[in-house]
Amino acid sequence: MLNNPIVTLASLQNLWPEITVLLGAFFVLAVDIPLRADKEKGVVAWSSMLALGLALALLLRDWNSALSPAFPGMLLGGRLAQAARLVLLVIGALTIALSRRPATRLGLVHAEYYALLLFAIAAMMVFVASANLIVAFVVLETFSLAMYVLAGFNRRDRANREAALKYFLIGAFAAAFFLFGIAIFYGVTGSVSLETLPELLKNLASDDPRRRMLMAALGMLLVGLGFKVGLAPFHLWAPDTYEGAPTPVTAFLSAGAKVAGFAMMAQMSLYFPFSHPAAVTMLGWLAVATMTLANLGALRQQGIKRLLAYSSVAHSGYALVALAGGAPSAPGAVLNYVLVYAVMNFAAFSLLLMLEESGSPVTFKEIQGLGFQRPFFGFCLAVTMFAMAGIPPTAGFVAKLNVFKSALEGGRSTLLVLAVLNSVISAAYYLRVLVALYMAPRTETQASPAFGGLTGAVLLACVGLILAWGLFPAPLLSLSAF
Amino acid sequence: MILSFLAWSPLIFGLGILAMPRGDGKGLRWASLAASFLNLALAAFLLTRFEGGKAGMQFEEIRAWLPSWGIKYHLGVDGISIYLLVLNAVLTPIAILCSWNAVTEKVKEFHFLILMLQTAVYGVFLSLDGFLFYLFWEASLIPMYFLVGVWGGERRVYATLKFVLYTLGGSLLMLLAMLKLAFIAKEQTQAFSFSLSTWKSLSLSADAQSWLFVAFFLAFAVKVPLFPLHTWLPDAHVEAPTAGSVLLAGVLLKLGSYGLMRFAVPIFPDAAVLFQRPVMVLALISVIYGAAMVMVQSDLKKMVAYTSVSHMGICVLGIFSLNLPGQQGALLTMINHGISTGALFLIVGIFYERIHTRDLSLYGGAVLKMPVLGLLFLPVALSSMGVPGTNGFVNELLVLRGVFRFNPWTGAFAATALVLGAAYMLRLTQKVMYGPLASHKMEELTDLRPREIVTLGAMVILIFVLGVFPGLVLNSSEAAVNAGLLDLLRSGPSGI
Repeated sequence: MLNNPIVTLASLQNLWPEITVLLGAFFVLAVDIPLRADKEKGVVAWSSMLALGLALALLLRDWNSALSPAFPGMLLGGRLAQAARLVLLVIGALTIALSRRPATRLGLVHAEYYALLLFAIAAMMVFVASANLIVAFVVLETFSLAMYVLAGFNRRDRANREAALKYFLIGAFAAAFFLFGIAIFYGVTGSVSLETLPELLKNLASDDPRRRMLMAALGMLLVGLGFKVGLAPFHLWAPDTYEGAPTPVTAFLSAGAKVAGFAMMAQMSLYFPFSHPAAVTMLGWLAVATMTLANLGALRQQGIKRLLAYSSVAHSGYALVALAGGAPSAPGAVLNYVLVYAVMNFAAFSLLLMLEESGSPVTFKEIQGLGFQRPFFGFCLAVTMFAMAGIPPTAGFVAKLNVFKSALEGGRSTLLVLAVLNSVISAAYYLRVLVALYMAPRTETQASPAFGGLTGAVLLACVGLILAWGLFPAPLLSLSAF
Repeated sequence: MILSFLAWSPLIFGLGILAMPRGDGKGLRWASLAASFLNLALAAFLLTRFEGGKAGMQFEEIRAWLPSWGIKYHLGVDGISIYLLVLNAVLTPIAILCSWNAVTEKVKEFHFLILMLQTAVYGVFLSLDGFLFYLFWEASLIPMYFLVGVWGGERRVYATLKFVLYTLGGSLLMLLAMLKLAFIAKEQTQAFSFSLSTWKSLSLSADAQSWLFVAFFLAFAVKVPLFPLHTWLPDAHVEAPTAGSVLLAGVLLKLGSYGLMRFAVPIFPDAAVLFQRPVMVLALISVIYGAAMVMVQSDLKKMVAYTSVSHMGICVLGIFSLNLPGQQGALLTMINHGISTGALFLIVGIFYERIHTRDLSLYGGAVLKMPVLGLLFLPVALSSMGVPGTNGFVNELLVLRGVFRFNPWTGAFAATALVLGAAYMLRLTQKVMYGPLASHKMEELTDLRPREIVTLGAMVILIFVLGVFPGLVLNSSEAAVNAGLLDLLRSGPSGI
């Protein structure tokens, strides 16, 4: 084997972005040693940002050459993985930008916070490109562990601890499902690589029982991933964890986990027979249950953060609608949707962070009448809510339309009608936010959002993207044309 | 370019108004009034350049927008849409004028939203690309949502949410149907297309036509509104500020009937014939039910709101009689209803500004206090009843001719139903305007101010002009309506 070494420098080349992020994490930990604890440390944040920037540059430099897999059998190449890695890097940078201002208040000043974030991002980037399910499992656990700690990072806060514990217990449970899925997969195929699947399927008779076993494996893997991205009925941890975790971490949990999880599902859809009736039924029901339960749950919420948690689950449901369609355009549509979701998500969470500046949780009461008092803030929140509800001319509309288009290509009309009805329900609670913002009288507890710094920059960038992609969708759609 | 300019200039002016200093609001009002008059002048210019006798689209603009999905920025105007554009141009300054004293808070935002609404409505009437049409269609929701929700009455939040959710539900189904049409276009022409002309030329199976027609029809029927999807309308109207009501009745409801005429019927001719009877029945129920509801209301504004249900039922009767007099009558109904119901809402607003109640039992003998209003009220009421000499007469006559040609029994029934319209309008006029002063509230009434005389007077002039010269609209729309019906004849089964 010596003359055919698995690791060559050339194969490492495709992994430079991940390696850079990891090195950045170690650097952050090292640079922190001589610094005083519990104090705002700009150097830590800026060096993690720099690491992400470098990784982004490396990824873009090798954009075309990285299309071939880095370690054949272990990692996948291809545009889908490339796009997902790009999005994850951007999500990481946005999270760090959001963490700066409230760092002292939320106890996010420690270098470990940034290191864990970078570890999670690097692991997610490998995850979305894994061909080998064992590799996938290892990195899944890596980023999950990092995220459990992040969710409870402000350990003096009771809600934080609760959030982390819930997330950890249910996450561990989900990992077991994922592992079980891998076991069944191995039992059927004799391999743990996704890439062996098409070859095997070609030789299987259409009524071969192994096909059904594969569906069982797919089901288990989907349950495992479903916990991560928050698919009903595996979403019950989400509201509490999202609400309890420090707000920048919540933004990262919802966007990062969603991009990683759905990119992996999209990858799987390229290999697993998603058109099998069992898969079609499974995905369809998951999508319907997720959308409906989340939207109905969101209708009753008073807290904005909790509302966003339910909304995040509902958006997982919409993304799954595309996968359930099983059309060739599905992976692109899914990735497109989670990308746009990530943008809307960061817009929403940067707004929430501004509102939370005073430290108290934000409910509908606190934003009453803010819209006219702070016109620009109100405008940004209104655009974000319209985008989340999928109303044009926003990127949310384009992404949803793209999902619908893909599902229609797969011929899932009934599912689509249900998705549309769900969109109407969801509009009800997004519009309630605007009712409070513009149509309700001021209250004494009204928040006074602090617009400025990096949080403001994130908000401007995200709202700008939402509107630009909404008016000129061509660049957005070409990002996800695989 | 003239169409783009016509459509987008209100929004651009609106953005300019947003940038203006707040002041006491007077500057903002004058600026938006000037903007709307400039736009009216542009619309008038377009009208003079428009060639009435032609059937096809004029002043077309086509630009690629999203080539991979076959979506184009495609505008055009023909005999069907030209007067609806003018209606939109006329009603916007009137909406601004009637809010002169009524809207005192957030004046800047109010005028921005009115102008934004004007752009969205222009877009709907001008779009010849389904996707573009949908964008403007949804965009028209946003300003109305805020107009009702922020400047509305007590139950404004309930009313505005109901309005948006009803409309959104219907229109999302239409969006799915549009996507499906784009896919069918891809199958038949190898390229995605949202172009109206491509959609019309597709050969659709009877089954597909029925399903897609229903999806389109639901979206439009909610907007029209047709019984039993009308329940949002009374709520929205009652809670809306006067300008909101005028625009809602005047132009927004027409988006629905225009959609039926431009999209639902021409794209799915077989389905239109197939569903002709059930739709006619629903429309007849709307006419009668709307009229019956008017009679039992105790709220003045709700009464006027239900007259809209009744009148728009007449409009749908005309469209679905699927013949020339019926559809021309329907088109005329759209314009006339915009004027006469707009005027009625103006009058309700004039009363409400003075005595702050809409309770009908407190009204009576207003003419004693407001002789000028008495003079202007009568033509409006007569127009709403459809008395000869006013605009309402011509369109009802044409629709009835169309319905009789479809089926004499339905025609007879519809004619009887129209008597109800006369009944409730007479009752309304008598109760509000004549008799002795009904309550101490009526003592507080003062006669019209010059601004109100101008707005209401303009509407009355339009009522008589269109009553005496209906040919203005009919001549320029005949070719276009006929062309649509010929298509129907060509592709639909024989016997229409």
